[in-house]
Amino acid sequence: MAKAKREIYLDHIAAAPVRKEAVDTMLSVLKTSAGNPLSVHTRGQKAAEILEKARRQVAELIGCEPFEVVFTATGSEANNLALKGIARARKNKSSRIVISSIEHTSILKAARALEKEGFEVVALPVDRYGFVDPADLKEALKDGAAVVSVIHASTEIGTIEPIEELAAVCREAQVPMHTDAWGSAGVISIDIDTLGVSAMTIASQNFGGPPGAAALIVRKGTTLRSMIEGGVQERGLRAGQENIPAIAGMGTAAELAAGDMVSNASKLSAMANELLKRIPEEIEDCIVTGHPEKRLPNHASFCVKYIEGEGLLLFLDQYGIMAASGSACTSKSLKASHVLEAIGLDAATAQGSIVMTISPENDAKDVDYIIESMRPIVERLREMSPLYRKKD
Amino acid sequence: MALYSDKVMEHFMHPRNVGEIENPAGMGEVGNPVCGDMMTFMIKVENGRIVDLKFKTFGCGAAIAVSSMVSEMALGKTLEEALKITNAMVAEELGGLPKNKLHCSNLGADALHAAIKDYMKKHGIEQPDSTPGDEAPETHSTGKGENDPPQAEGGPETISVAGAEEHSAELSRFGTRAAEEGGAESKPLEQTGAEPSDINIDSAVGLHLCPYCDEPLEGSTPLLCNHCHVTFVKCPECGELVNENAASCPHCGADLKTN
Repeated sequence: MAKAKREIYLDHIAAAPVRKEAVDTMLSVLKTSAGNPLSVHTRGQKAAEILEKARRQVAELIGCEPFEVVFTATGSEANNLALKGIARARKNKSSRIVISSIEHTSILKAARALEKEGFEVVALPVDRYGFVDPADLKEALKDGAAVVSVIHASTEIGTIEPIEELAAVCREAQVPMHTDAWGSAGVISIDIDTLGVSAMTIASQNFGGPPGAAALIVRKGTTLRSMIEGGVQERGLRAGQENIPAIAGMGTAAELAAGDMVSNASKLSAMANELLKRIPEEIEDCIVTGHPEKRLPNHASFCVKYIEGEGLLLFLDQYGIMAASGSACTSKSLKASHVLEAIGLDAATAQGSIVMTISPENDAKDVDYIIESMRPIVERLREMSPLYRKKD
Repeated sequence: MALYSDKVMEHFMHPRNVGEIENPAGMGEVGNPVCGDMMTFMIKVENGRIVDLKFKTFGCGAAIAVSSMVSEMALGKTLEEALKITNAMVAEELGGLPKNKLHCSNLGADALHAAIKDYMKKHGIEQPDSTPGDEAPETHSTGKGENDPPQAEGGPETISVAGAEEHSAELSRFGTRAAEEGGAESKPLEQTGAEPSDINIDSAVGLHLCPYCDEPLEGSTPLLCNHCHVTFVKCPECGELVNENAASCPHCGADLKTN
């Protein structure tokens, strides 16, 4: 078997390396502080100090007040807390939940769970780029709703949703809106006041923090019911002792991201744009998924026709190129991505999904190598495919 | 830890017998792009023996490796011998497959058998009543039999999917469509699909196992494999379990589209 000569990691949205400074912070917390932030003694107060510093750092990144940051373990937990927490707290107002049809599974499944509690769930359609139409949202809210949740930027197709416009529709209808920004917070500049949402999910891993630390930003005045019964941590909205080392690492990463995400984004989009332009040009029958411009700067996604994504990933891995796919075979459930279905792709095309997500550690010079490696692999898989007929 | 065994990777990277045969003596096609895999097998037969065999496969690494392995196992065999190749034998030859990929080994055997049966039909050769590889178990006690395809031990069952580790079949219940196709109206969710607790007594008595992964199926008819997320129906002609999306029955060849 051919051994990889190079290592080009293009799956940063699935998991990304932790920034060195964040690792240093975590190690120092692990080595020096073993207090519980709720304890009155010196060590406890030291832990509380570390926690509150991280809260300020995260708040600074998003433009919210520190007390509005509710730390959770994962983005999925924050999404569940937002949707279930707000819906349950407002059940007396409305039993309707409005989401988009391209949400992360943690929103989709939370909605399904709420359906069993008697909520009616409306999944808004999207256009071929993945955009939710504010007019559709307005229509869905004509009789009100308990909560609305629309993803800030799709991690599968990169499209950045018009959250400001959607939030304006929600404000007019007096319905709180949540946005899942785990793929975008710390990658692009987000000011929560400008967006105008009531709650927002962010995750540490996407901006160089460790796994196991995420947050739900809950704006002042937003009604939310806790999912975990227990102590008074995180304003009583998330009982259980906080993961102080991971949260401290998240704080450091948030501070660094606030400083360099804008300059990084221009570097990232230069490389992503080259991939988005050259791959469809240089590989026949390959389409870009998501919007070509209004998308995450670190994201390039495609569907390569007549082949299946997993085979492509396995071959690319042999060349040291590690990417992702939304094809049926790469998912445990053997169903193609609901996002690709929602943007109207036929099943066969959706199976050829490939998603590349980059970080500043990637080198734009690698684009040539990526395309040079990909082209013969695609040809080879097409030679094997009964769906492919060579064009004369 | 690798997703696939070395043997699977070797066949995937260097598949044998890829291609097509001009005017094949027999041709079999199974699967469809919706479920992720599609295989076409073509055979050339001389004196009751498979003297040439070519395949084309649209699918994952396992599907390609399985096609290659089936082609290698069947080449040179008599039709009767080739019909005895089972999915379990294919998976075993490959050194095991991850659990959620076992259905690929079933497809490979099905495609081969479909090509052979096509040949037999064209030449008026009487077909055996059933072939071991095609058999869908009717009743089973619990526990694994010796025919169960081996599974790679402890292998990860999935690889990363753009940040979302799993796209559940349940998601298809959400009204998803492109706006230009379906207009702007929003659509509430519908209640479909049996919950695990909804298994009715009838189906529990005559327990069916998934032809792809051998896990128990749920519901009566249609039967759902909660593991593969594939729905099966009984062929109206032969009564064997068939993927609900199949155009024809891989066991008896009955046209399921018109039924």
